[in-house]
Amino acid sequence: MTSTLVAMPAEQLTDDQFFAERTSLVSLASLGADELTARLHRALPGAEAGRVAVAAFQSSI
Amino acid sequence: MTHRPVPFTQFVLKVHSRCDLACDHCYVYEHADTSWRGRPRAVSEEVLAKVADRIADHAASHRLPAVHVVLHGGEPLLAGPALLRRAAEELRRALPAHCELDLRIHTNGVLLSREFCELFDEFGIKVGISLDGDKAANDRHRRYADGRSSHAKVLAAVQLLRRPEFRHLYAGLLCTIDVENDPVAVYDALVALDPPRIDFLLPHATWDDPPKRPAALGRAPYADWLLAVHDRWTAAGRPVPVRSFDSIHRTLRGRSSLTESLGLEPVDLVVIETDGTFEQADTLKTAYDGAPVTGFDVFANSLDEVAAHPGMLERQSGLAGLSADCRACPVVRSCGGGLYAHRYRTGSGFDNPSVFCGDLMQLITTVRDQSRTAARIPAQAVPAEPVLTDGQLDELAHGHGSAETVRVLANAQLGLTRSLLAAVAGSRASAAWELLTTLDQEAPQALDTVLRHPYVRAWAVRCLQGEQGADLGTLAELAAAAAIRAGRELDLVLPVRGGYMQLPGLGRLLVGGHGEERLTADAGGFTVRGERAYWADAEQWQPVRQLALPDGWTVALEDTDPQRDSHQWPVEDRLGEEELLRWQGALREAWELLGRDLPGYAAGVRAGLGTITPLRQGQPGHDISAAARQAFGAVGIARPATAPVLALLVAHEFQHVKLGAVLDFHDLYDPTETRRFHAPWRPDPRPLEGLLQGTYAHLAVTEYWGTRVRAYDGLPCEAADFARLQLATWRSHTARAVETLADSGALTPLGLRFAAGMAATVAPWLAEPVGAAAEALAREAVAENLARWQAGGIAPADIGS
Repeated sequence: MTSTLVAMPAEQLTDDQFFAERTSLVSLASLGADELTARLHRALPGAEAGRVAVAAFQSSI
Repeated sequence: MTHRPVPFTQFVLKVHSRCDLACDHCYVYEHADTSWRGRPRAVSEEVLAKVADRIADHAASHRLPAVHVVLHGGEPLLAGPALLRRAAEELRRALPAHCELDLRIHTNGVLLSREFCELFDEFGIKVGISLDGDKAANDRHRRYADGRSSHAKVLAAVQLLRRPEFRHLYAGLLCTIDVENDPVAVYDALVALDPPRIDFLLPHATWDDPPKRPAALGRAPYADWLLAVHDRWTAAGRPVPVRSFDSIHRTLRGRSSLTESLGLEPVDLVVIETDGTFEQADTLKTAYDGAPVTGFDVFANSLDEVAAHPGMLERQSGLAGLSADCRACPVVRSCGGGLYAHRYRTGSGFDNPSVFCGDLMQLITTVRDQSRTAARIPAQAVPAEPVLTDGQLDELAHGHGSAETVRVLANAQLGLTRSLLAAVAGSRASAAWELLTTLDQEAPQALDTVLRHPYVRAWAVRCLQGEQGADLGTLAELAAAAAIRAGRELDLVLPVRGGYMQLPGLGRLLVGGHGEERLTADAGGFTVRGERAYWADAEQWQPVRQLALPDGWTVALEDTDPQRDSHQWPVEDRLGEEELLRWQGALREAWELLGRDLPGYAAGVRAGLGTITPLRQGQPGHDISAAARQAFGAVGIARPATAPVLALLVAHEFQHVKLGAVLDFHDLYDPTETRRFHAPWRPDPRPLEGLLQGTYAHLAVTEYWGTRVRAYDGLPCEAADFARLQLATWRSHTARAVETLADSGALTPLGLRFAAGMAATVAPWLAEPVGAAAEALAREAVAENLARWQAGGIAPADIGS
């Protein structure tokens, strides 16, 4: 058990494949929060949480 | 399963049942249903008052924040200003104070006058107009009975609405498609009228009465027509919202549709005819004579009764309510089977794809592919989606997952967290963000190690949701932790919360006070307020303790990070040395058990479970443990009395972690599913995801007890009998839940693959002998829960999974 600073992970966590496909934080940020969160929609709590989204009547606008 | 009706929030109130035009594509007069012939021409004041009361009662009992009422026809302006005034007055009178009224009228416009507009202004009634495009297009169908064009009068109506004093009433234009019209001319003519929004409607048709498809216009003329408009709209920078196109773009990104003609959202709409009868969707009139009938009316029936009508429930069933072809379709989330009425065929009813299926498929996939091409960064890189091999997906479907499989999930989670970090921080310049982006280039391993800490995602999501307990100060904490991991010299201002500076994943510094302080640090030590100290012996440094266990599993006992409260249970404070040793001993023994008895689960635990957050003890005899969807790689556990229970809790909770990581990138079920299902281990009905998560976790529980039973090998003792009872109970629960999932109709093809995998895993344990006594006791427990569920029993909040 360690009781001091452990600055390195116990093993190499990130493999070469991940680095090959890695997009920089700056590039990600250039997409903007709306685009990023839209792409991650499955992973985020529902924006419409607490309300059931419903289908709107099509014969009026 | 139980199906709770969605309360109505949309009401189509027919105020007049006749029309002054004779459009030959109208579903009210020109299609299968002929019920209009027997209705009163205009709604009566008695019906209006009763309708208002019914809507008000419904709004009050369901605490609806708003209701939407559309005055419709026929042609509603034929009802005249006095009756329309009465309708608005009655609705405003009756509705409770907490409920907003969104009141609209949809008209052909030919009678619209200043008098009407002044009335609509007085009551805030928004006006939508039907217009099929330029004069040539509009005149194709929208004519008077004697053949005269209505175009000039409709344009005059729109010009009236565009006047400054009425502009706020202008709701938009509805255009019914005719593929023989020029799509660009139609679109341009509509946009020239400066509408606040537009929608294009497919003409009504069924499999019995298919839409026209001129031979010269190809196999999918409606898709081609709409795509021509979409191209024009996109090239112009989307100058006006187009409801159908916006719905496709939204549903392709997992959001809700804006129209009943697309998407899987439940329909919460009821039509009230001029005689007070309740009907289902108006467009069903196109299917067969009497199709929308419910048999209910405002005088005899409440809206709750109408909402429970089978026809209404059918259209709130999402994926499960669609035909088998639709359920297996890759674009079903966007298409939703199209408009319900368009699925009708004599014999099979509505259990068919839309008669526009080919057009919808081409339209949606083309829009999807165009959107991908337009993205500035390749979609596969944002985030790095888990590229699971077929074999790895099968492992996960069976409830297992090798180290390599879990590493794939973990890498995808890192990509997800990086995207969330960019979403939270990317638009704000700060010293912390500058340092993070520098380290991202120069020391990516160090930064990514920090970002793999489970609670970074939890913090980012809280920031995006605007929740309390998360702020941008954590950016500096992350940057500092990454700089220290990279061996850089750090000089940065950090927040001080409750006396501590946090270094996520590393530990916390007790500095006292609150606000902000400058931290300088290097590999040897740190300086705060001018005082230098060393990591190795500073009393104020509280590192996260890492437990190195046999076979290469290293797990942190996280008792410092403020975001560790993500597990919905109170967390333990900093552990003392004695408690730490108890955890160490229990984990060592539990890990040995997992490796020996559940090797199919242990490998994944070693690769993916890096953090255990100690939770506070609950009531005596109640074990507490939890996973959090927003904290991959962590589980929260109140240290149980024995190591075997700890092993069980670790295996159970890590199942939730794995499945959550799959659900972050894959649809296993219809997200719009609203039904509740029987979970055999709980007396209360569960949403589909809850049932799926519980089943997946109990698969590990079943295997855990199965291996214990085999280890006892028929030995007669109390512990063995207990294991046999547990196996008998959990294998039965799990097998029944898998069946419920598979039969729900709400699983996607991948979801069905998971159901099949889980069934295969539990199958051998169903044959394991446990003895008649254990079988009988397990049956009793199942029957008791089923009885409580059927009686509508509510579970206490701490019933697991």
